[in-house]
Amino acid sequence: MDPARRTHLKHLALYGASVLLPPALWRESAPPASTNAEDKPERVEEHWFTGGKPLFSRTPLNKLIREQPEVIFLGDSMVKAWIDPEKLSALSSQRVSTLWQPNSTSSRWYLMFKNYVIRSQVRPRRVVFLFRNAFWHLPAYKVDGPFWHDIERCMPEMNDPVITRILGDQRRRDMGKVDRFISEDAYPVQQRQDQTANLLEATAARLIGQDPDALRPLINDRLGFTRFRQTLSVETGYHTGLQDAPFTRDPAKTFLPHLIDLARKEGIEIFMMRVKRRPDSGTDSPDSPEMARYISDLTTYFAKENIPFYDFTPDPLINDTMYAEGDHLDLAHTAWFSEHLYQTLGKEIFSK
Amino acid sequence: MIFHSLDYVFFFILVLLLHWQLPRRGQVWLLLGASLYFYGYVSRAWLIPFVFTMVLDYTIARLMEAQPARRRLWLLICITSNTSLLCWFKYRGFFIENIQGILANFGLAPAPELLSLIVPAGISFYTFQSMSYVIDVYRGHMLACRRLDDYALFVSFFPQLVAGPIERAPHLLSQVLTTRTFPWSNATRWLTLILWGFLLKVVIADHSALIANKVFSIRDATFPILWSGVFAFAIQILADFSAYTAIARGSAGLLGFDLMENFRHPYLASSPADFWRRWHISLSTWMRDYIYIPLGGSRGTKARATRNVILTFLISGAWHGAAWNFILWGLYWGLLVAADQAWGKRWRPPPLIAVPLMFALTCIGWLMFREQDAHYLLQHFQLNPWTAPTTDWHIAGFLAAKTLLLATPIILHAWWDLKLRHRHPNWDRLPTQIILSLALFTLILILRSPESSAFIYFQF
Repeated sequence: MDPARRTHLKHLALYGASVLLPPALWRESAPPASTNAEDKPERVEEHWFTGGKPLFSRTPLNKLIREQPEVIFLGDSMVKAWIDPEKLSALSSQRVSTLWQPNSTSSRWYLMFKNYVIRSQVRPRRVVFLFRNAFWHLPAYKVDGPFWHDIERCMPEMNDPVITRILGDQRRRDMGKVDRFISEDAYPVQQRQDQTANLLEATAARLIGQDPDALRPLINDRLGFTRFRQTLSVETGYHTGLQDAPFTRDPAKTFLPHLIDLARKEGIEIFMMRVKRRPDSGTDSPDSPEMARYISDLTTYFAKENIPFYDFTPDPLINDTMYAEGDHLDLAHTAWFSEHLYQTLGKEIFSK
Repeated sequence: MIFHSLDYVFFFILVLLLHWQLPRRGQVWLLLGASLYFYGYVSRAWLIPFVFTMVLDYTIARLMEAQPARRRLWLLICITSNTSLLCWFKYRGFFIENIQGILANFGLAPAPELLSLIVPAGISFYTFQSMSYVIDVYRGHMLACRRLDDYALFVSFFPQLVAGPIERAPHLLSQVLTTRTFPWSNATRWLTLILWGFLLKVVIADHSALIANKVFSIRDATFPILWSGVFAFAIQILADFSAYTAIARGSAGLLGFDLMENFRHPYLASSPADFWRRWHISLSTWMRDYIYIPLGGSRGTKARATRNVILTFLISGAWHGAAWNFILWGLYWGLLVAADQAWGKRWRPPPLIAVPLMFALTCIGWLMFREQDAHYLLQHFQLNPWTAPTTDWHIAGFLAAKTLLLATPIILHAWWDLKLRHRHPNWDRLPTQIILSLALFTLILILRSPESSAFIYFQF
């Protein structure tokens, strides 16, 4: 090799090392992991290259073991926004817990039930699943990219046979080993993204002389879901993918039959509960005809399977003034709804 | 395949390593195979019109040389077939939808339902590139390419295939035909350019997109909120499109090719004509050379010159998309440039006034470009700034400030490019490249947007 080329190669190597290494070494100053032992994920297999599935979060498991609930409400952020476990515990004199993950859909609800509720051996007598739209029949919704990480955190095993059976190809398309290695192991500094985004927003607010904390709720309200144009509300809300996933009982296509079988096998009584989506101003019901048809099919299915199903959508007492953002109730009405729920369905859900 | 994905990074590294191991003919075949793989990665069906265009234009150019007496006929066939293909995929739905609308207004039964067609990505780019080659051969500016594989690589070269720059045959095809060497002395420069492109896309464009998308999603935007969204979109579209060009130029550079610059600080333009000398340069020069000048350019009467300008911009608007808002956007720019030409060399405001004024006019254009709903577009133009509540001004101020913070690297780059670069002729030495690249890479890692979208110009 001629000396000039050797020099160029050295320069290129120096450039590569100088650019790629320092951010990889930026570990000590990365935000510290939670000091709470429960938050520490369990690494089942450490080595990324051999295909180890890295994470299983024990936090929910430990929560259930600690709380020993008799009744559990399980689902996505709707659980947090609609259920006040303390209020319900006080009203029913039973230990009530919630188990929820933001942005979760039926794949994770199945895994949370299997790997937390059942694995904890707490054996609650009843588990109430909260949902709001067609997620039971959109099994592949929110399972790719970073969502796959969240799914894996609910899986202690390498593969879950039901997940593999239902999601199949979808799983292969998700974040691969190399993506994970880069985002979690090689450059943990990326965990600072939330912090830097917050810093950027706080700086922007201060630049115009505003308090970022005071401005945030104003922005959330002004640019929130309820302000969406009608066409967008339909696209992003009630119809998400419904056309592609018509109602089906095929166990290879939804998690419902697997969930029901598992509950029966473990002797846990399950309930399905649908919360009311924020009604559009001027309309009584937030359901489109397609969604109403879907819910009707779902009701028939639950009736056949002998699963109690309660739909709060037609409830006239729940109105649009009670909501904070999107379909989430505001804090005061979370407590109100818990009381309302107890009065309406207390006998069914909390009877001894 | 999209640039800002690991798939592309691995694909490119593999192509790069193999490329420099092969002789020239092998390089052509490798790049051609890689380009077809790159293009067919999302949908193999896209390859059908693509290969058809390639083979057709190659054959027509050869026939032009073989039958000089029929050159005009072959040109006509080329233009008709290329534009027909483009119209079939891109404008068919638009035409039928409008005809259906007109029929419905007269109470007539609408036409049968449309067969939904997915427009192949970048069809407008490669059609124009391929067509310009045939026109250049027709005009005698160059000889027809002898080999189909060389020509196919010119049309399909993956770094610039989907969103340009729209290269001309004399520039890119000539590079395909020559033996290239690895750009040892410029390698770090091209790598830095790629990193700059990633920063523009995944930090600036994607973060600004969150703001713009939100504003254009709500039904009751007030004056300040709307214009803060337009401002965010102005930054988004510049960052997004120039990111694509930067990554394309960087990738091509490492493969030994030199692609043309597509942007030259467009928001520093001081007049409408100046803007188009700085924005999407490869398209504006294409429009000038293949549409405006053949129409007569600035020759003839003033009315004729004005007509030529407006017509050229109308076609440019339609090139961007099959929707009335793009036509309106083209008309708007046509009128601005025509007015600018009519004003001639009379008094002009100083840059301190002209540049912000031009940016404001550009933003009005972006509003037409971004808002696809005519009802809302009309509503936007009727907004009254004096009736907006104070909280909306605060929110808009926040959104604009956030966008401005995000755009800081673009501002610094312009400042450096225009004010400082000439004072530091040796700025691109290795230590500077390392520091710059390290800063870019770190910023990408810690500021990347949680939601990433496809490049805006992919749809064209």
